[in-house]
Amino acid sequence: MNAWVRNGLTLAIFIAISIAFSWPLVTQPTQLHISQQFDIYSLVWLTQALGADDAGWTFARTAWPMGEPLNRIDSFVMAGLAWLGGSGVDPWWMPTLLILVGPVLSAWAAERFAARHLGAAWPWSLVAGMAYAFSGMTATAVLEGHVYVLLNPWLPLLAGAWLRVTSGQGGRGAGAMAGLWWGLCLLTSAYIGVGATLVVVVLGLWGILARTMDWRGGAAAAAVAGPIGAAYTWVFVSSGAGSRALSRTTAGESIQVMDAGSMHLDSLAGWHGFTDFGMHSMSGTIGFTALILAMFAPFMVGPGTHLRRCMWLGWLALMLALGPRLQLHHDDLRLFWILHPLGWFQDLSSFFQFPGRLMWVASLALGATAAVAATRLARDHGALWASPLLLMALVDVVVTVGMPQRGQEVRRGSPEVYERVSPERAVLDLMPDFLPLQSDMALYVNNLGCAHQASHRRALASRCLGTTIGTGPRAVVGGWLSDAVLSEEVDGAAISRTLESLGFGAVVMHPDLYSRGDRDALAMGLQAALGPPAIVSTDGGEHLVMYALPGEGPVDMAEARSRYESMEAAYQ
Amino acid sequence: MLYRQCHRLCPSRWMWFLVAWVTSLSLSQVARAAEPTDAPIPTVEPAPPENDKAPQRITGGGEQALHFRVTAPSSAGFDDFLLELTRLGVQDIVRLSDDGSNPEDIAFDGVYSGASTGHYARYVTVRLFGNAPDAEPTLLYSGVERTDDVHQVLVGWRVIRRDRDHVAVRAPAAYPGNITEVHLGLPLLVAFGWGGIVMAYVGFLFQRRRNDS
Repeated sequence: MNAWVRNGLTLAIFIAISIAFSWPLVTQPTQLHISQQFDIYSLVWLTQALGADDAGWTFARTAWPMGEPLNRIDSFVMAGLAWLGGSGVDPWWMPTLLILVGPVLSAWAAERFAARHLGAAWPWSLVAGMAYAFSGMTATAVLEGHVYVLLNPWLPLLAGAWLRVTSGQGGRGAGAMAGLWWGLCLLTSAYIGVGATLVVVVLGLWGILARTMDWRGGAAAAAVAGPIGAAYTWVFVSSGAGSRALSRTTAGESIQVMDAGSMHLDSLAGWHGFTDFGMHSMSGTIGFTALILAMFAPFMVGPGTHLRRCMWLGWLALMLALGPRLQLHHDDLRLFWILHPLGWFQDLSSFFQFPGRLMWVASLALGATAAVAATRLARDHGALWASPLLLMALVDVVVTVGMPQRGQEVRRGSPEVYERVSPERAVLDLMPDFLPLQSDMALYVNNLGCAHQASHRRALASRCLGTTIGTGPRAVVGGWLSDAVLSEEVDGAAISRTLESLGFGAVVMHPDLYSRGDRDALAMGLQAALGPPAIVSTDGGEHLVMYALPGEGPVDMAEARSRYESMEAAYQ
Repeated sequence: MLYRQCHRLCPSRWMWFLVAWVTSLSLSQVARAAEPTDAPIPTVEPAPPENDKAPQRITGGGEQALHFRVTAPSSAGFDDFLLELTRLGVQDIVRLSDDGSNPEDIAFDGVYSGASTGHYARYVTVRLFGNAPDAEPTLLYSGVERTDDVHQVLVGWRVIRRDRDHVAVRAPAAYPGNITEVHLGLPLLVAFGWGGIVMAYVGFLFQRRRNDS
């Protein structure tokens, strides 16, 4: 078959699967999103922050008045795309495009990896694309909202180039490209970078032990990857804590936290009602067709081939993705497992909360192995006998991955009330301090408020990057305000003056998040201190009550920051 | 040389699509200007002139149905359940019954159901009470629940015994219509069944290959 026709068909098939996978997103791309959890809102906020005209390493319009450092964002590739898009592009386009286009490019790269480097024949090579880019990991990314990992053709490209270098078939050029692909993996997401490093280490060690390593290629790869890795590390350590703060969402020993972020045996098989129940939507299935074909592959593989290296890489990645303890469902088995020793490095391992994301490597390597196994079966029995395997791989996407039925249809609109605040002033969202059992609600309402900024562009006291809730200016000023208005003698003038000096133009209360008693008491206190509410809104799906504050015009930032620092010191 | 390597390693010039995608990001600005607003247009009700202290009201949002389910063992002794719902600041009481009076209820199957329709809300505040004969309603659950789905939201609880009292815990509802444990695991059971079929077929092909060789 002509290469153009074959590639066209491949693209058409992957585009059709992508549309079906994310249905009904394509029907209303500007009105809906389909995520279950809350990372999508942070992503939209980050897109507008990075696309803003005054974009920099610190974003001034969240965590007001201190500003929010952005040097620990997860995806610099996404940041680059947001910067290219600029402030004129609707930030909601970013997740939509990444969900629709990202898996297509990733699947295509995986399909080409299986065909070019492992010898899978078309159409059996499509199995590799489906297993990699339409797997449980893709569903996890779509439903949790960190969709920038879907645009990841870099991992198959890295595997291909590095396989050539480590088997002595690629020179400096292939090495340099491998270094570049590794860098792009790291810049796509830290976890993808960890997966890419696993690919480099396993294939590199294999090449060294088998004495097939091309050292010139290896040196070229190091020359390209080294500066990227060094720059990434410098940005990461230049500010921020040396260990990941354990918030109420990640409370517990690092082993417990890693355990929750690992694949469990049932999540490799499919999904169930609890998979998407709260905070996460972790499923690592690559589909039974790819998994079973990969299981039979060892009996079909000759010694010393690329396929053997790829296959063992896949199984190792799958074993590592099971985390520190082997579990069948939830925490039922608690058997000591490979990553358990990481628990000794408490601070360091606090940054590695999701070993399950190594399933990206397993999906690629086992999917490509399955494609070769399908090719061998097709060669032995004829295409007619093997063709049901393609159909089975397609059914896997629906039955075991569970898309699109696991998705939601969520409206994007934001409340108009924020737009009534002076553009030069900030908004203080007043929300309750959630109990640990409802910390997913805390993250949800915080991130949702951040995403609204893409529409109203007003500065917010909320902190929008990261998952450490209950900290930052919104928590500090909100806590101070609640205490002040619930005190026995409410000094409204002093409260107004303080908020005004901090640069706030309005307080927006979220009454439905409070219990009835707290709601009524707080509303009375706010009315006594700030006067009656200026606006009550129920558009955008939220009940909001806005209390306007006096004060117009530019804010004296030095005074606002100094005032906030003294308030934070006193409040904490 | 870099170009040659790139040409060799980049499958089928896919990079052009990346370039096209980035271009489309910029072009989307033009599309955005032309497209209609994506949410229902909010209605603004100005404050009445005689009372300048009354807040301005902004309302909006389409219709949304919320469906509620509770599973409870008969030993719990509840006849039905009352759900106190606060949705966009408005309070409503929903009765959850298992006598078939609700069109979406199967009578006496242990699953109590009810529904409420109103303006689109991203979250609601709920308090769930159990109604036992000759007793005051018992508070079983209180919390804030996400209800973001535009079309249909299903919120479920399971009544369990904790110490000497009954409480309700949130239960995921995998499929509309029921929230029993079998249904929670049903997708996984289907997946395992499907896995068995795939295993049988691949095993058959492999065995045939071995026999041939």
